[in-house]
Amino acid sequence: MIKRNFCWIVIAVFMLSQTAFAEGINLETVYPYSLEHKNIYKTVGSATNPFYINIESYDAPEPQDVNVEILLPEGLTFNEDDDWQEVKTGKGLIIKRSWTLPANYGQNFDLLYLRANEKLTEGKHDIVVKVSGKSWQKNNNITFTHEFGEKNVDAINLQEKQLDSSKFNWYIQSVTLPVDNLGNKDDRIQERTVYIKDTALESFRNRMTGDGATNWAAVFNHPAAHLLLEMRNPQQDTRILKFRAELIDKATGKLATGLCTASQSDNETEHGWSGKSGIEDASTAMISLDGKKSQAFIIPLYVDYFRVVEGEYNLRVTVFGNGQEKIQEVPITIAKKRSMGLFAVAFSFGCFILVCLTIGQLKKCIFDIGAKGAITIALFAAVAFGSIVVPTTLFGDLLHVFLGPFSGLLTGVLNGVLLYLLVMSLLVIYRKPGIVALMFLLKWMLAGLMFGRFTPLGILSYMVYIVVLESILYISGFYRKQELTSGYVFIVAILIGTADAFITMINLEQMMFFYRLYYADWYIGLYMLINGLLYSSIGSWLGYKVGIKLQQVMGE
Amino acid sequence: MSVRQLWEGCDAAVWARKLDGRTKLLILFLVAVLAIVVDNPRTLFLLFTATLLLHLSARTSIYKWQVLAILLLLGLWGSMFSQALFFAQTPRTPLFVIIEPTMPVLGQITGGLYIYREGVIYGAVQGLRSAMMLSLGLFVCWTSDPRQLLKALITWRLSPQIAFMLVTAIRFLPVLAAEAGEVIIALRLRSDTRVGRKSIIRHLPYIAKPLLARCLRRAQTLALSVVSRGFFLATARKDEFWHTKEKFVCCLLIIFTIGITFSKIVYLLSEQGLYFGNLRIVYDWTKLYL
Repeated sequence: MIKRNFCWIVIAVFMLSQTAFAEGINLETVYPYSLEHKNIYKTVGSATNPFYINIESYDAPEPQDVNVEILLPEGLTFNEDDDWQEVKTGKGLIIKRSWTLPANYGQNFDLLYLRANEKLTEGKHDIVVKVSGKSWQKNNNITFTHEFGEKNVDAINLQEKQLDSSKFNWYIQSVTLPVDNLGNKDDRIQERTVYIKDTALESFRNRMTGDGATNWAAVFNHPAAHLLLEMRNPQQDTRILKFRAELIDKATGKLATGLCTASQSDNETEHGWSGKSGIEDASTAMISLDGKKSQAFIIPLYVDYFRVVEGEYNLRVTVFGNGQEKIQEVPITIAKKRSMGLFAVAFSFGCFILVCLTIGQLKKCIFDIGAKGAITIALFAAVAFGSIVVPTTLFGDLLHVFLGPFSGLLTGVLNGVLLYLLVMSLLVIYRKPGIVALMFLLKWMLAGLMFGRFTPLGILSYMVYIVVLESILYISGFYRKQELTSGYVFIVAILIGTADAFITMINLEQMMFFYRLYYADWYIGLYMLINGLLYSSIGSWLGYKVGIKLQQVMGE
Repeated sequence: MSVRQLWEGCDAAVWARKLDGRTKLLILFLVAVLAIVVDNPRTLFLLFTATLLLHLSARTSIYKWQVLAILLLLGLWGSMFSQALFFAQTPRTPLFVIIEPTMPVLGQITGGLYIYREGVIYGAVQGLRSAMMLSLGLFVCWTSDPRQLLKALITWRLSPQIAFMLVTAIRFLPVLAAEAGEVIIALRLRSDTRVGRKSIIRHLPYIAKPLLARCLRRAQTLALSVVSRGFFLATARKDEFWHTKEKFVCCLLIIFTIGITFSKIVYLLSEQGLYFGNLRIVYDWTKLYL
């Protein structure tokens, strides 16, 4: 009796230990596998389909070696894989490999591609999966139905040509862009052109704050474009494939910067799971062929707005997986939306209209200051013309030869310091709205009459000067102040400098818009800072000092 | 030839001098609009050549041609230089590296500064716009007296007071230049510097105050004289005769410019999605020639 009980106890302990080991393993197998986790359980014709295996291990104190065996029914062949060995038996093909499951918790998974040949009969078939450790074994049985399906022309042609069918069972039919997020193509939008937003201001701010980074959240919420990838799958394979889109320089054929992956982040691995993927300058995605003869995928293209350069490229689309790779290149144009340029032009036109509407006020100003004031403005404008316009016209270009675009920083001493010195000294003598407008109007007309500079850009540029400066002086209370103190004028000088920095930006943006010129955002920033803020503030302050002295002359 | 003679239009062909100021200003403005609208390098070059032909037909003197050539070349060089640095299109081939992207501070701010081969060519093409306007501006300048242009502005309802201010500014330009010279001589005599360019540069910052003080004193004297003669309050405006032929040419050019601007705008709108099937010929034409 005792012996019998002991035997039962031993058996129970043995079973419990087996159960304990086995409980640390979850085996998941799917055939045919689909990325969307659709339960297909059906294969058609001579299609290639993925077989998914996942071994989840937990509660294991030490790593353990396991052997995996997959018994395939006759007629199902295995596409070669370095990690798996195949053994042919009478019952069918056995493929096997060994794995080391990590201690505590781990997942070991793989995707194999199995292809049906003509020997696979119609009806139900089983795939038996055996996973065995030192003292345990787990089995899984997958049942699927095979159908011959209708023979399509593509498949017949492929067979007739006796090509390596594993290489030709799916291919890229077409690449269409841009499409919307539903894959609809708008005929009114130019084909193969990707418009990207204007990031001049944002980029400038980032550079100034030292971030040098993109607002990635905004980038990923708003892909630059969607691409419609049409895949042909004549043998109705089910596959998981990787997609990669890259920009290729047309001249050199080298990879160009501009596209990025959705895992791009400046915070490296800190946020979420999206660590560095090792893929740079490319948009990537996973796609799943579901066994349809033709399948379309809508894939977002993410653009790094701060690194992408306008121009003509080839978009190289690569679809790859399981040792196969299909590439198609399409010419595309990357074009930037000039929203800053449009804003600058709209603002200038607004200023032009405003000046036209208030021209009557200018006349009033002339009568208020009288003949003496008007002649003073005329003479100051003549000084401005002679000391600023003439030298910058004659010698500015010469400086341009040696200093290039940076010559402006030198001629800016005249355009900034001297001009605002004259304007401010005039304002100290005659503190009335309209004085600045008259001064700039006369300076522009003199340049027009003497050098033939009557251009639309010139008109708009001067109108911006007039409106912005008059507004800033009015808002700062300069015209209403009883007495000008040094502290107050210092603030006004800084305000004028800031206003000139804004005017500089507007004028450069206008030039870029009207004359299709390019200026880097840091260059615009540099100009705004030095020519705008620094020179103009200094000029205004000096003008105040000169103006006080000139008031003594007025009182003579 | 003195600098003053250089900016006078006394040696130009009679037809160019006789052209109405309004005609000249209008053509100048419309060509400036065309320079903005047109993108096609060939058309830009044709327009630029047309402005040079105007100089040729106005018998611009050799000396002025030399000045024009220098100014045009300098302008084009400037445009090529800046665009070579900032060219932001592909393909682009760096010829030289001015600032390495890895350079501390500057490299980080600029992201690297290169001279791009394609930028040089692009700058030359875009520089044609300013070259065209410079050439036509100098044509107007060398074939007209400032009074002629001023008269044109007055007939276009420029306020007589502003016109008076303009005349005063133009008339006193040589006087102010002479006064600036006198101030420099006085400053130089007061200091111990020798004659030379260096001494002028050294005294430049001190010119402003005395020069502006003289302007104020002159304004006081002039104002008395002007008010006593009643010049400043003049309101009479006389409509000047404008030749019908010139008017007709101007009208044609206006219609032509409006047409070109319209086709360019509708083409740009079509790129942004505002497409009209009826305007396909206009789109094709714009793409080919503008």
